[in-house]
Amino acid sequence: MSASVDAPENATVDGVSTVDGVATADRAAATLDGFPAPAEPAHGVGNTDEVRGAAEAGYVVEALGVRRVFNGRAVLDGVDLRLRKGNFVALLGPSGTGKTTLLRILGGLDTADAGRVIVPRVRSTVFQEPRLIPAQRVWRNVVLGARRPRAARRRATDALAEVGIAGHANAWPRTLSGGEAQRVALARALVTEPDLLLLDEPFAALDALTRIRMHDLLAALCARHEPAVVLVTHDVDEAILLADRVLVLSGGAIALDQAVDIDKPRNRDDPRFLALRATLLEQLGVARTVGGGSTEVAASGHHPVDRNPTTDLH
Amino acid sequence: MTTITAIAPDEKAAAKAPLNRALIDLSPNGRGRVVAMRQRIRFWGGWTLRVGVPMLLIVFWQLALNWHWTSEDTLPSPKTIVEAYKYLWGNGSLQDAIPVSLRRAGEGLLLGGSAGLVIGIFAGLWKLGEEIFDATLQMLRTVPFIALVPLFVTWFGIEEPSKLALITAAALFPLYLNTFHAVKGVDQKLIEAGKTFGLTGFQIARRIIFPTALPGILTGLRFACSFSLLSLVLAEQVNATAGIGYLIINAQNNQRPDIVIAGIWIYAVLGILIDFFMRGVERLALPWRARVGIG
Repeated sequence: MSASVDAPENATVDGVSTVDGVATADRAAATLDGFPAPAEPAHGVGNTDEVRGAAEAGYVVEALGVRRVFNGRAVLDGVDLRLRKGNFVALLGPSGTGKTTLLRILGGLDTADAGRVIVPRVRSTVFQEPRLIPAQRVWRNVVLGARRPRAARRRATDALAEVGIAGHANAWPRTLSGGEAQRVALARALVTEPDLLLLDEPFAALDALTRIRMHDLLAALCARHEPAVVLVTHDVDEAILLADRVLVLSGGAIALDQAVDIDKPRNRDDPRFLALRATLLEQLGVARTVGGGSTEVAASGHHPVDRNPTTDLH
Repeated sequence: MTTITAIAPDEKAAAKAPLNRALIDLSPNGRGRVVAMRQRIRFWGGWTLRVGVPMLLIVFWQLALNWHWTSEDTLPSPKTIVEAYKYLWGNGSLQDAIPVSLRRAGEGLLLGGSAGLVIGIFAGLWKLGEEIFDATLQMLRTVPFIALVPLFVTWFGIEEPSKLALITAAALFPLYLNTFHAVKGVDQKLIEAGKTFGLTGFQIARRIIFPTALPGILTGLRFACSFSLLSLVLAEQVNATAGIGYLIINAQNNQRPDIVIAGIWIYAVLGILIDFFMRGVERLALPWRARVGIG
């Protein structure tokens, strides 16, 4: 898709823009199936040196020194994050440490108070709730982002088949179960072929069995489509199972950046898995010996790495 | 072992002791379950009650006269009223009156309703619109439109324009209020989801806000219909020279309570027809909504 990310030496700045509202230039001409083209020519409107620089270095996401203040309290204070195509990072941290805020900034739903935020133009989000439009049929929900939804019907059906619920294309969202609705949300996020997929605790509301299936589905879809992925989660096991890198957010900045060097498919009983989980739990302030099942991070009173206690929420 | 049961083995003698807690039987034909009965009642009950209760009232009405609880001069019997319809039909006044009244109500509904809809959408979508219209309209809506009659007569005279103005005013507010609240009340999370997919403001309005707000808008339309009918009755009491109201006033002057009641019945039937029509519209326009109730 975007040549710059695959081959930095032959770089152009396809499909990369800043999210400050000004630089998000006109979309490219719509493709035949009703979606805007993801790529833009290098000389596209709004391509600053920073955007070009990031693209040339092969980054799809370049967030540097991101700061966000709510009511005089810096929830994010100097977050640095760089992602290449196909990178899958999980963002951990107790409640209130700004995980969702960072995700919203990357998604363009919120604006940072300071710092540089360069993200791909084509990106999509899956929220904790499916957020389907009740008045639109499932397939129309999937192609919500299309310019001409009717023209994109075929792609909607294909995307629904990919997430395993092709039979529900004509159903109303109300009739779906929680897991099915979240599959639709996933199909909607992937149908645009995003360069960046933002996941805000997408499986938190699902039952344990459905969650396991969704983990497998997400891993398979990401392996096939290769977007850069940022997964916000409270579930340490989920983070280790899916991500290539686990980031722990604390005190408004990234306190730990831990690569996950375990072969896929990953097994929860793998000693390396258990060791990493122990490390992460300790980092999150929930020191605990190895136990079974998934481990949710509870809001805790203190964090081992507390670089900036005045800006910490706890 | 061939079968697996979920019934716990008796481990302790205490578990075998009789239970002193109330139990109910929820199996399909159990006493605690009245599904079949309820379904039968729902099937027959719905229409029987809808049609039966008014019929019973009419029968009671007729009997009250037969038993001389009241006189024909005070309350003409249903039979007399049917005669009145035949009389009105015979001299052509019924055929003249109904279209005139319907047109008044329809024009007022169209004018007031579309104004209410447009302003409601404008105020719901844009902060500016809300600031311009909402406070004023919220203030005006508390004024009973009946109080406007003398004012409208002064402004627009006693002819058609004042009637139209009254019906328009009556239809505007319910549609405005419901549209405004429905548009404004659309879940922000859905709008946010739309934004993450790069939808423009217009696309968000068309694909997310309007379809989701439609139930509220239709509720507004339903109210606007009833209000325009209500104000029609009122408007036609003032110097009408045609229409159902004119028939009623005329009959009142001529001491014909049967024709007065015949006219009132027409208003009632129009009300029922509007309700029926709106049910159909809602059924067609909102296929995605669950029809929920408590049985």
